[in-house]
Amino acid sequence: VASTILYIEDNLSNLMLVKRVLARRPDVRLIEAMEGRLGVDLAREHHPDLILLDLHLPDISGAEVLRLLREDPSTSATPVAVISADATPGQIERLKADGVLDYLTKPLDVRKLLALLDRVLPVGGAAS
Amino acid sequence: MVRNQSVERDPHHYRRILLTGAAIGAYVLAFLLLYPRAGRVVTAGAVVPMAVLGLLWGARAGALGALCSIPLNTLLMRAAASSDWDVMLQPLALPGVIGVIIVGTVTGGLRDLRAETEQARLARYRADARVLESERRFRALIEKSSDGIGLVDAGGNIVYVSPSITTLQGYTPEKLVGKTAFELVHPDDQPQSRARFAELLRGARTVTMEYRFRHGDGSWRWFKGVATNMLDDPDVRAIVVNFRDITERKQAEAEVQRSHAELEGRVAERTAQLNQAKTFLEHLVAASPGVVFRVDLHDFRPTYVSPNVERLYGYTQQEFLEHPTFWMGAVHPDDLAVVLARLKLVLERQADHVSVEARVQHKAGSYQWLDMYAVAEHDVSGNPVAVLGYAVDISERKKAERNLHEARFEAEQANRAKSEFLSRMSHELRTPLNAILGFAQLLEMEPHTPEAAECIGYILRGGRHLLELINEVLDITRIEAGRLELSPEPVAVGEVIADSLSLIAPLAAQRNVQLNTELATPHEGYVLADRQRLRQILLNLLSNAVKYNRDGGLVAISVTETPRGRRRINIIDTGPGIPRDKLDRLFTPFERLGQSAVEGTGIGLALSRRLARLMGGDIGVESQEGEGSTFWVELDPATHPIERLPWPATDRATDPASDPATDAAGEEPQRLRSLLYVEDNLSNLELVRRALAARGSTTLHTATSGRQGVILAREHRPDLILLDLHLSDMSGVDVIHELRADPRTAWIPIVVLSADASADQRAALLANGAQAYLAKPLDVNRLFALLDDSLMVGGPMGRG
Repeated sequence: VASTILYIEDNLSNLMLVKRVLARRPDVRLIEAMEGRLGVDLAREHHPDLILLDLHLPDISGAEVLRLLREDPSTSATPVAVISADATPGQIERLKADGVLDYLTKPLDVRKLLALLDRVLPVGGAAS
Repeated sequence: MVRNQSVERDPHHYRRILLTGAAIGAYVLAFLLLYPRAGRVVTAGAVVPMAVLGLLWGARAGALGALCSIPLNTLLMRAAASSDWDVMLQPLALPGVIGVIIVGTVTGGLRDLRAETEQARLARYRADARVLESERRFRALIEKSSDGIGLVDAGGNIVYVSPSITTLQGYTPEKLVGKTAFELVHPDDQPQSRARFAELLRGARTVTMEYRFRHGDGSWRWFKGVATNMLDDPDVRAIVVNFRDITERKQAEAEVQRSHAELEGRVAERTAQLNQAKTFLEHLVAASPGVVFRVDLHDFRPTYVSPNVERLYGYTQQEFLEHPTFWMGAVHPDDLAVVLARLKLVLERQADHVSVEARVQHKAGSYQWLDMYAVAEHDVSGNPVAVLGYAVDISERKKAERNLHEARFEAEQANRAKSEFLSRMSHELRTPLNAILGFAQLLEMEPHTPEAAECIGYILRGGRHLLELINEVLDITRIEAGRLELSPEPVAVGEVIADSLSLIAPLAAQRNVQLNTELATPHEGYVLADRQRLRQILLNLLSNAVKYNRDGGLVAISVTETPRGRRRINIIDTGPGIPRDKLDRLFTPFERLGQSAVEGTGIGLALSRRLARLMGGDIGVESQEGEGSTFWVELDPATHPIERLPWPATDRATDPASDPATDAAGEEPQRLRSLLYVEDNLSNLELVRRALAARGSTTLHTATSGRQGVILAREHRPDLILLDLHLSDMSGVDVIHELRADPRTAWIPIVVLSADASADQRAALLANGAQAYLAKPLDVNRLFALLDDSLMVGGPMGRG
């Protein structure tokens, strides 16, 4: 497996969709977390190459997850992309200023997600 | 005294006169020397002969000294009272002496004259001549005198008047003698005159009276008369009246009295006016809802409070006036400090009036809102000493304000709730839509049958339509909540039109509608707009023009200028047109005008109108049923950014003194060598291009998208990157991240450009690796200053 992606999302259909999209990239391993805190723990444990983050989570907010990730030296450098149904421009700008790599709005544009993966992940499993 | 000395010096004169008198025998009765002013006898000579004198003064003939104190007129009256005598007065014309000789002639004495000798007759003749001469002078004197003398008997009959009566009263003495003294007195004055006269008869010695007397010419003249009862005096036996014309004095008095009366009248009138004004003001104040007051600035003691304070607030005037700090107790504790502070401002000359709202307690206990306004009063040296003002109850207004405030708050609350609801709705709708569109996209990528492809196509179109609808609803909500942020800047009309046309071309081709771009190409000129939003409006209008057109129809764009100087972009279609009565409803959300067969959100025009107005412009439509419609959007014109350059760009560029080649030759090695400008607004690109050309020596690389910018940065590694935040493909923050993440570009200083970044956003951008922030519209001088500055900070720099 070339790279690992952590997807923190509580909506099952969204999880399934991303899982199906990633099936088109056989060298990518997907780790799922349906709660924020669990997501942070998994990030520390697995050091993913990319974290996909939903903002509306059952325990803590996505922004809080982001903060925790940034605070921990072992996860602070991990790229994070937000996938959210909140399309408010202010929110998008704010999170990007907070160091989020990309902000994808729901409904997800599958091509955009694939383009993001291509941009961020090491090409052809060269790294890791 | 001169006269007395003369008398002393020349006693022979008297003697001579006396001798003359003696020569005429019994006729000379006496001579008297008079001081004319006092009118009294001051000395008297001997009387010759004694026997004659005895006739006049009887046994007291020798008592000449007594004469000295008798007034002349009394003497004359005594003489005149003796009916046997004619009395003649002759003025004496002796040096140093002014006086008269009184000559009495006994009527019966003529007999004795016959017995006189010729010599004596001659002497007498001479004496007579002298006497006549003297008498003439005397008469002249008397007649010119303003005073008159008259004698009246006990019955009031005039027995004598002095000749001056002619001048005084216009009668000859003869005409008056024998008449009653009252006859010619004014009827109004008669009772008084008679009363005075009666007083005299009853024993009064002297009475004074003022009366009007009929003048010979018929007019009434005022006289003052002094009457002395000398009836008992055996020598006079008459009432002597001394009278003087006082008409002028009376007139003067009357004049004085009249003017005095007039003056008093005026004073009374003025006083009445003042009283009226005072009463008016008192009534006004009493009836007014405002309390008038005056407060001494020295100790803030009220020196006046209008009485209506009792009616309005229950306190008496005295309560305020007697206790200097009483009023402070009535003011609400929370407001007192403000009131005192305002008064102090006036005292310290920092203000010339006080205007303050404060709560004041009614004596009954409740607080009322008062609006107090007072102006400063100054002493002669200009120091503020007091304030004079009024206080009006504004409780009702305050209540209304509070209600209004509450109503507004509630309305805002409701509006916020609505926005929040729509925002949530939008969010909630996106989540299931994610599954629909997401899996449909996946399916589309998988191999499938044509039937399946058709089905997937319907799912995707329906889903995207729903998404568009949600986005537009969200936009409208944001506009209504005032949360939609725009970044207005000069936008090239031609550019944005070409942009929109190219985007709509596929749809037009699909619908077999021809796009006429000829009219649109040459449109130079700029409008003030948010470029993305203007494109959104044009796309909406163009897609409507295509969708609501006939097969094989035409869509054209033109740009015109309105009479008010705005630029108007017209989108003309050849559709069926819109009935006049439905034109108004076009811009109402979800009005589809019954054409539900045509795909659309029904909210596009409503959103476009709001966007246009938000940019200071407007949107409208003109339509002819059966011939087509023209939708237009108009905006304020803007200046071409390059026209705002502080110098004529071309002149500077061709100036040999600033030849770029010379500069590049190394004279100024510190100069910025290359610059990358990432910007999708072509007019801004052009502005910076020209500005740098004028500056010389700097190579400019330009990128019109974020992606292109990142690639060019890696390739050219410019000294500085100018980055617009609003790019169509990536956000400015994304570009910064990519540049910083790549070691080839991580050190390049970045200057961010934006028209609308908030302070927070700016701070975030700087924290993310931008070196500086510049506001749009671009100020070229500031840009240059920044370019020089970023060079000094020093070429290659690592990411901080």
